[in-house]
Amino acid sequence: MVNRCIIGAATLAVALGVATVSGLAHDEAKYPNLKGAWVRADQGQTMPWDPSKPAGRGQQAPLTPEYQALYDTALARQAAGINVSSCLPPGMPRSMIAPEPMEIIVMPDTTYIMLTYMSEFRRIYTDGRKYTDEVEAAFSGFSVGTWQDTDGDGRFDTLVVETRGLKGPRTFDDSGIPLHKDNQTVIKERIYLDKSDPDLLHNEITTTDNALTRPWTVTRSYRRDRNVEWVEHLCADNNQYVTLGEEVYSIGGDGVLSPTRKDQPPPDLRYFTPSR
Amino acid sequence: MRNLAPIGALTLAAMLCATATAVRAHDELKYPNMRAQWTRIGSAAFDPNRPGGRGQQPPLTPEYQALLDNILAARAQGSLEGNMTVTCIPAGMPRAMIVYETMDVIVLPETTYVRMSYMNELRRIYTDGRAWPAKITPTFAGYSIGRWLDEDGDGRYDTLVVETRGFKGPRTFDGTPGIPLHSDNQTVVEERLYLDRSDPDVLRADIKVTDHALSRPWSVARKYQRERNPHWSEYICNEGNQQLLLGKENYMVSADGFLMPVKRGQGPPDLKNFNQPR
Repeated sequence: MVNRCIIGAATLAVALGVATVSGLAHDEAKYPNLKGAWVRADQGQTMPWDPSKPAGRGQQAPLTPEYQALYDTALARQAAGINVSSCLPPGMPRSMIAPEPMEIIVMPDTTYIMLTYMSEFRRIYTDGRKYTDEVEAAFSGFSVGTWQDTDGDGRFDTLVVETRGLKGPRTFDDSGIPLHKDNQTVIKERIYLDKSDPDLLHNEITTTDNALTRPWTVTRSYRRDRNVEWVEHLCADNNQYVTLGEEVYSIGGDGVLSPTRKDQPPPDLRYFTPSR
Repeated sequence: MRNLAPIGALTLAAMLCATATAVRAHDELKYPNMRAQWTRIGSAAFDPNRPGGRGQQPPLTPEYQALLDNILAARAQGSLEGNMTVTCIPAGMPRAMIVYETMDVIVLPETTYVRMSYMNELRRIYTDGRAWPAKITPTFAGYSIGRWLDEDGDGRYDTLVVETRGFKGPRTFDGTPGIPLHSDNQTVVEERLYLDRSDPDVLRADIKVTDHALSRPWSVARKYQRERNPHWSEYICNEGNQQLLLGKENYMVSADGFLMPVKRGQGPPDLKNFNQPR
């Protein structure tokens, strides 16, 4: 009887042990704790793609001559006061500037990155699937990732991600550094917590794009905010611009169409019968 | 010594049992399997069990019934008045739960996330036991607090009971005809979310709305189908959106980039801020 007890208890213990390991295989003990809100660590007024360099030309973006010329044109238009705000999402890789807080949910098969700014939503598949050319193009692209245990402590610490399948137009940042219109961008990321500060998240981002002469690598960081109040970012709620043909107009607080530059002609109202 | 061995094994078993329980308390074994892509079953009317338009028979106050009548009259002339999503303003609650495209549900112990592809709306339903905050920043999605219930007593949660407050507007119950909610945004939405007892691929939402535009709470029952091989699409409202709102007037932008009227006899927009002739 005693032996049966021992065997029974041992069997139970083994069975429970298996159950426990199985449970852990799908729980947060295996993955880094990325809960909370992540706020970009570079809190400057401007939000350049490479936070370690000055904005604009100071970024020294490795653009091809063709795309450098496009960028020069964009800078000249901005200097002339012509700004375009279309409420299109930034898309990858610019999304990861995270102008507003982002939230990360780690599940065994998918890591979700929810960006407040423009309500962008990234699914990073970690279930072993592969990218195929049949993927529907998206501003956030199609992301596959693998978890790595780089320090060998038995827990995953680094999410390695590759993103393809993008659509455009996209730029690296709000100064307008362009990505190629062929949308063949490939973005590789390494996302991990700082070794000495678990409230600091790093993302090493390498972008390969036909607008560039070489891959462009930047490191962005985010600080954890454990007491965030989540807000909605509604571009359309605040968007004051409308594009009609080649012209950009603003909408005043009173809802009246207004020019965006001195002596801008009013829009062509050819589809209205003259009554006003 | 012979007695200690089984005690030790049993203690180990009990410890492991406790550990396993602790783990399970935070894993998916405790919660219903709702993580999936869900698509709408039934019509896009707020009450899918009734005809659209006036057939919805919303229990509106006389003031808001008059507003709805005006909206219906404007719609008959081609206006999209009353449907703010045409200008890429999100549907907000409770309309978001119509689910025009697809819906993600992600259940974690402290929060359930409900994310709509349409307008990229994200609901966070807090299930961490928090109280209502003293001050809520109004949002279209509102501020949601939920709690899990084990209604059938099988030791697993099956029903998420949610209350949502703290809204901004304008919001409507639906897109067509655009049944209005009150402009004071004091709406309270109560929901019960649960898997169908006989079909775990069907999610049910019993939704009750209390609002000052209504003479009594309005309850509807919606259903969603689980897609086991989901294809996710990005919904970008502003991509190709031709609708434009200037003041209270809707206009369209033509494919060739010109402003157009949306209803018969609609006048052109006011150009008083321009000093250059066309």
